[in-house]
Amino acid sequence: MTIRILIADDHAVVAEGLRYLVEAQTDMKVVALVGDGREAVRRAIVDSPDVVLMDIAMPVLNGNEAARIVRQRCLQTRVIMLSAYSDSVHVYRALQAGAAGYIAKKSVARELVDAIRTVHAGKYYLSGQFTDSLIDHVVHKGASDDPLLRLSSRERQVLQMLAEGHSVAKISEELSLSPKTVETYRARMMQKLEIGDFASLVRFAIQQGVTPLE
Amino acid sequence: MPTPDRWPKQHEFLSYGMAVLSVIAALFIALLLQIQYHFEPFVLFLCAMMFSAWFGGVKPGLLALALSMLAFHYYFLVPINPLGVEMEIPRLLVAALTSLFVVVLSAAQSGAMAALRESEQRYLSLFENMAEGVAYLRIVFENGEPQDAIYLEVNPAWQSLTGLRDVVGRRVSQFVPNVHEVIPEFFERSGRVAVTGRPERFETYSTSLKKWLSIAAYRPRKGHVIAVLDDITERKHTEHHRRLVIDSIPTMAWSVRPDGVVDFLNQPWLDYTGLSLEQYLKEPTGPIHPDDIPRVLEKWRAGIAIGTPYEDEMRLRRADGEYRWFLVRTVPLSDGQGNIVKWYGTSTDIEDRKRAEDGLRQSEFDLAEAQRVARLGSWTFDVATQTVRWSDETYRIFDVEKTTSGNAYETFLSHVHPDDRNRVWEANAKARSSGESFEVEYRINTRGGHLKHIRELGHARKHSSGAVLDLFGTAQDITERKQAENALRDSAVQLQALSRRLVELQESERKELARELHDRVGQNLTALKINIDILQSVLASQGKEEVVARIADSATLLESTMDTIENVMSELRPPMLDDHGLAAALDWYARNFSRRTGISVAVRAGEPAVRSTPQVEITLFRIAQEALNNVAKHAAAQHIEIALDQANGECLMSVEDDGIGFNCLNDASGKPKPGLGIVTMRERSQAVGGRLEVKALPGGGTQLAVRVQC
Repeated sequence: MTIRILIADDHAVVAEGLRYLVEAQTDMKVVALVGDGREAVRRAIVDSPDVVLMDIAMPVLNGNEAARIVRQRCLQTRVIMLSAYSDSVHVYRALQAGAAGYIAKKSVARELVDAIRTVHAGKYYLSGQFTDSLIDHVVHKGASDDPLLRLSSRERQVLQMLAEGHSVAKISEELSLSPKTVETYRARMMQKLEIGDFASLVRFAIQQGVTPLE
Repeated sequence: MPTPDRWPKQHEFLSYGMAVLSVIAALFIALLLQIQYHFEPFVLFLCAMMFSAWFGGVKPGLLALALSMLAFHYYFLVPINPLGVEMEIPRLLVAALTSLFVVVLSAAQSGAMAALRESEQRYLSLFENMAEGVAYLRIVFENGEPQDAIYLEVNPAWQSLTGLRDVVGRRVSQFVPNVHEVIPEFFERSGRVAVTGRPERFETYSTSLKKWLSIAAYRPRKGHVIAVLDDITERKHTEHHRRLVIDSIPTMAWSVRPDGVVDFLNQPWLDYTGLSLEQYLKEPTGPIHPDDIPRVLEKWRAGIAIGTPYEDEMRLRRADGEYRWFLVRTVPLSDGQGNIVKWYGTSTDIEDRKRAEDGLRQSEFDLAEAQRVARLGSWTFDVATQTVRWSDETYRIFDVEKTTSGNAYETFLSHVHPDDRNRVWEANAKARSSGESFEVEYRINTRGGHLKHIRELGHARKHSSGAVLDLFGTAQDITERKQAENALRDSAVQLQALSRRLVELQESERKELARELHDRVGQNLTALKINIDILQSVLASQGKEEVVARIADSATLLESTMDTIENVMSELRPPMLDDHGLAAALDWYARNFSRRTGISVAVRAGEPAVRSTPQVEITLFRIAQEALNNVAKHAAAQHIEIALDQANGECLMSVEDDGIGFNCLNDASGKPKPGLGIVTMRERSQAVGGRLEVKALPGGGTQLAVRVQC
């Protein structure tokens, strides 16, 4: 069974190179070569290729947007993003847009065939170097979504002591801060967390497990 | 009724009557004598005529003569042929002439007597009533020296003056035993008068009477003296008093006779010049400074010619030789008929005043000069009268003629630019009510149509009660400074615009370069890489090991070149900023930063519904980049938090660290340290209409916040 492939790249030499690599495989066939994103979408809809090799940076419609539309319109078609960028942001975004694979152009000759086979098998393919940065990205992204992490460690300390029912005077003594600074910390936490009153702040702290309920 | 004039007066009747009666009496006696002794006593008629003339004067005498002649005639020449008396005429004539002579003589005698009596009466009255005391004395000489005197007569004034009574016929020494001590000169002088007969007048003080007496003595006859005493105590006191006053006033006073000769100099004058009147008279211009003499003399001559008071200033030599300036006032004393009888003058020492005046004039001059040089005028505003007083420089600044200025505050306000008047007036009013100092800058329109900038400082001067008396202040022409300021501001604005343009240019250049690198270099490298990889695999399958090794090396080199190009592109302009927005770019940069520096960075940035303009995005990104690099270099921080919020069309980006804080950002004077890029960051934010604030956080650390419309 032949894997039908659509190549979308505005650089003719690159596109030809890709075609050569693909057609060197007996079970793979290039159905079309296109030079921009819109054309890619059009041909994808017409030809329903198994895999689209999509340059991320293309005129008229960029790779990510084209991939998004292709994924919506052609449910069986898998998209592999080819990119000159090796940063996690571009990888993450491409995956978000619906790409099943992401290959750095510099290593495309090595990885292309593997990638096509992998995504055609219904799996995801990432160049080895992207795995780490993507994990790092996801971890950080998750971290910045945690409201507690919006607070500095000092603020978290103050929050815990407030939740444990210590007075401002006591906290300032414990942490060697002036009472005024403690008050400021409290006000800033409430502002950062968009919490309007002190009781809600304490409830938040307990919910987030800052302090165990006894 | 007959008028009294037509009738003789009463005593004339008596006179005529007496004439008739005396003739009748003479006739009667003559008849008796005729009868008794037969002789013709004409003498009786002569007596009658004499009596009539003596008693009544010539006219009654003539009546008596006429009657006597008739009586005699009729008696002695029995009337045979009356008036036909040829034989008797010579005798009759003789008798008549004799009688006439007797009558005239008697009448004359009688008149002289009456006159004498009247004169005596008058002198007696004078003597009795005169105010001066008069004593008539006979001097008693012993051994040719006057030793005592006997009172012959004294008048009531003398008695009341001396307090002595019943002195006539008694010796002076009886009343005034120590007369030599009481009036030492009295006997000497009165003796001299008694001897020489030359009247003398002198003034003396009587210790017993305690009175000043003026005594005039003359000799009515040898050995006698009439002394006229006048009490001049009061005059003496007045004179003494006046002299005392004149001598004790601090002013030098003098008087000059109309002929120009000085006849009086008071004590201060004598003390000042160290001269006596006699010394002065020898050289009247001596004390005057030689340089002043011609002018002084000219003025004196002019003054006496006109005869009006005049003043002059001249230098007079003090006893120690120092010359001092004097103000000399000269006033004429007139006799009421327009004749000047004396000139009175005062000389007032004005040296100190003149020096003070000179000093004052000098310091006023200096002040005016200083004001002129500084272009700083002064003014005073009188609260009570609402008027202003200006220094010359203020007039010059306002370009107003000093004479036409007017003193009303409104006049001043009329020069002020209409848009500034209210402000100026309010500053003035506030200072008046509160007593606070004020500073106000305003514009004025000058006559030449120039606009000037004035900086005015005002200060309220208060009464001890706290009420504001007046405002005092300065007005400075700051037009040049203002112009320089404006020029500076303009050039600063231009500079800012230029630097913004530079930043914009830089960004667009970078963007262009990054795009070129990607589109041309990057794409071609990619194409090369693919082809080389293909070549490598084809050649490898043909077993050309040597060439394959070369191509593998090229592929590696090409790959590293592509990495480099990618890095360079990211440095120039992060591709994810344009591709995925600010939040993604910040996220990416933060992660790279953390990896590089070991400082943890949390980015809290929601995806905005609408992306900001590329300018805002790149600006905020560059600021965040700069801020992070500052933290890494200076703050010694552990953690950084970047927050990006969008609300109501406004972007707020804050970068907070937990480092050593604000001190690391500012130098000792509180200004941002150079090289921190704060100025550049601020410039960048202003270029897109944003505001940048840097502040210290409680508990250490720094927050940098940019607020911008997006």
